[in-house]
Amino acid sequence: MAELTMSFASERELVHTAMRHLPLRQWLRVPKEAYLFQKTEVQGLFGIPDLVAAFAAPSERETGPIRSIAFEMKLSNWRRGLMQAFRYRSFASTVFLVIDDAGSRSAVANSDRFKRANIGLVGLNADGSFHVYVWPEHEDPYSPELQSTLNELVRTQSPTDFD
Amino acid sequence: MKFEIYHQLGFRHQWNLQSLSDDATGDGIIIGAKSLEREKVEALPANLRGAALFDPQFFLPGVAKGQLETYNFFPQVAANDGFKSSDYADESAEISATACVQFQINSGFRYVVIPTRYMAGMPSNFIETQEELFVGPFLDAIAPQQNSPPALLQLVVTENMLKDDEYTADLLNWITGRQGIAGVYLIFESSGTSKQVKDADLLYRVLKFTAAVRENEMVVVLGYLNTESVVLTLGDPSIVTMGIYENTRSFRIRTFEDTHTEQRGPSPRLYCSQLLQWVDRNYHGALQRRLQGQNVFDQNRYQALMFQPTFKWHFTKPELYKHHFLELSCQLRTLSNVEGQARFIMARGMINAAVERFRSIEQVGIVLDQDNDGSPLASWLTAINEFAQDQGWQS
Amino acid sequence: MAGPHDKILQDYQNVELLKEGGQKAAYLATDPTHGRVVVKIGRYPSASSLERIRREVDVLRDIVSPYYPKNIDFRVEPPDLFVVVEEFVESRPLSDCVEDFEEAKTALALLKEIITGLTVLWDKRIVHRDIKPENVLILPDTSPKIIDLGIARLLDEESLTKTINARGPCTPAYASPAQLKNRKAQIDQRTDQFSLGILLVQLLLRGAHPFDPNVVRSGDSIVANILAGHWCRAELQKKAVPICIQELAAKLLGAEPFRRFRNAEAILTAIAACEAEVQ
Repeated sequence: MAELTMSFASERELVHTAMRHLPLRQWLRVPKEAYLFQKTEVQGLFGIPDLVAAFAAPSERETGPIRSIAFEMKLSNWRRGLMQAFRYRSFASTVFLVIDDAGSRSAVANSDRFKRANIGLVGLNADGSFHVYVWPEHEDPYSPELQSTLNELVRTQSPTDFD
Repeated sequence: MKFEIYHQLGFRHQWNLQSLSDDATGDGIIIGAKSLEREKVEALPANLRGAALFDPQFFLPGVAKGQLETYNFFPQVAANDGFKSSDYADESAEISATACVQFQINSGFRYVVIPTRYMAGMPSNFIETQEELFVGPFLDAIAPQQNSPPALLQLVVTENMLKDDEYTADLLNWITGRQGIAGVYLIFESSGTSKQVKDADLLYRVLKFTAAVRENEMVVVLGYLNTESVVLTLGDPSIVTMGIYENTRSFRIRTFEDTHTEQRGPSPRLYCSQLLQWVDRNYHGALQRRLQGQNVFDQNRYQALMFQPTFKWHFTKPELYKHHFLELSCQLRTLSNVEGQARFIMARGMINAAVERFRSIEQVGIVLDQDNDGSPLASWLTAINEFAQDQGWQS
Repeated sequence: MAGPHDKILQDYQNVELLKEGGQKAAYLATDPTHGRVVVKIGRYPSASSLERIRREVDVLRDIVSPYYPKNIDFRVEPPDLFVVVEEFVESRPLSDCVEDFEEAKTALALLKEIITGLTVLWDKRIVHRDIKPENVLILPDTSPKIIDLGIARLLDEESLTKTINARGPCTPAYASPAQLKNRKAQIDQRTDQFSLGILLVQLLLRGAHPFDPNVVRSGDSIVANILAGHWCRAELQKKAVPICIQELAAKLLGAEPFRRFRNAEAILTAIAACEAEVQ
């Protein structure tokens, strides 16, 4: 079997590229000048999502719904990635697993599992190009408590630039 | 033979006692010396002490952690200048044993437990050391007592010991040949890191060990059990246990070490009897929403309270554990009412039904992690099927 | 034997040679005080063998039981002879009359008696270690007496032999696996149970040895079959020996001590259950 040449040397690199190139504002329908919350490796929820992006309109910031996307990033272990990503359904309205597109074949062949779990699947390349193999549907998070926790985090914390 | 259910007491022991009295979820208790100071033990009602075992917990005789220091017979306390195994046999073993035996008899406990120390791996001097330091002196202390209850030899067996046939045979020959003891208070240590035992071979060997001792018509108490107790009832134990926090549902020697501190609290989990599994609170929403009409949660008064919107889920809430005791004790009692092959068929049915439930959970797209996904169940089936074959039980 | 024995035997009347072999001889004689006695005279080749004999005598002297011959005297005659004087018991060794106990009821009854006799030793933490038909005497009323405690093991005393032998002291054809492997830590009363298991099967099969390759139809030797756990249960089945007795034998012949009975009481309970079934 020919060895795959992966696009990314590390998950960190994958996260870097995802933050730079995935159209988070578009996916969250964030107006151009509006504030977009982004944070990596968020603690205090269920699991540790590699990236959380969230938006609340200023009028809704104190009490209103917050749209959120949580991301799990994996170079290739999509099964583990799917399991971790599903945890984030407890607090985020949309969840994606982002994997190195070079090694995405097996995950894509199991798209049905992603659809059933309502977890999106994105294959990402080092040059920033990406392919969305599974689009998740917006769904209310499963845990009202964790949703509140995330909402509180978004409300009280400034966005942290990716370093 | 019918078996009894004992609560393995640790932190928050009041919840165990409330569960016993309010919900009749057990037949007695095992009191751990590290968790309950001497005065409080002595103050327990007489009828409760009469249905209790006291575990002196001499696992690390040189470390008087927690309430162990309130017991003057604990080796580190009893020995002049602290416990040293080279001096202990000559100087302090007899004094400590006499005091400990006297305490247990005066307290009216159901059995006198002869403690032994924890020894890692497979030491060649295991039996000799236990005999010299504890077993011999304790039996000598018991012998002249007119009114002593029967004695149980406590034994912590490591995974290494259980997985070596010759070592296990030596232990069994020793235990079953030792006159003066009525049985064994057996604690097995798993090296696994998962919340539930997944090692089929280990479970199979614990079953065989239990059965071998029971064939000698001796008492077997299985301590520090989690939900694998369902599996281990097939070995025909006399008593199985259940506990609150994980350190009473799985034996880890590090909890008795001086340097160990309990980690930050776990996230709350709820026992689901249909799944034979504790399920993290954070998955409950997914299970409720996606399994519409197929309620996977047990219905009882604690469940009704916990699923109120105002209930604040936290691992320190007693309802989680009282719910667990109510449901698990019910399952265990059902198993206790049958024997041998019938018990095997029943346990296998319970496990297969749980496997099916997890399949239906997966089919609606819920992806559970390895501490919640029923992954031990396949090993449990392997263990009980292999044991059943040994016993000649037909399916 | 002439010479040194004559001097010892001059104190007795009606002296008759019973048997002799190697360094030992046994005589039937009349003692002026004790009546008919057996006088055993032998040469002890080493200090340890003398100690072994002395041990047997010490054990017997402490026992007051109809299951053992009464010891009357023990002395050492320099330079290298020992003398043991025991009560004479009118009897035959079981090895000469094993067919008389073929029936299940009589086999169980005899086994029960032997166990009752051995309990006298076991209660003192003594293991006989050499139970076999030759060491069980059958009196005219069919009651047994147990003899030859020469290699009995006192569990609380130092072993006589410090050498590391492949096998411990035993008669190999009646030895437990632990004896054959010289696993001293595993020698306890359950060692005697194994020998009793062999004896029980021999009673039921008119003397055939349960581990004999010709009976089992496999294995190179009795010892090999003992070590492999291959015995002739099929022969008991063929003979329609009641299942409870087959299981009693199987348990006594458990390869490991923990597979046998925990104590005499447990065996006697099992025998009683068999007796009730056999009635």
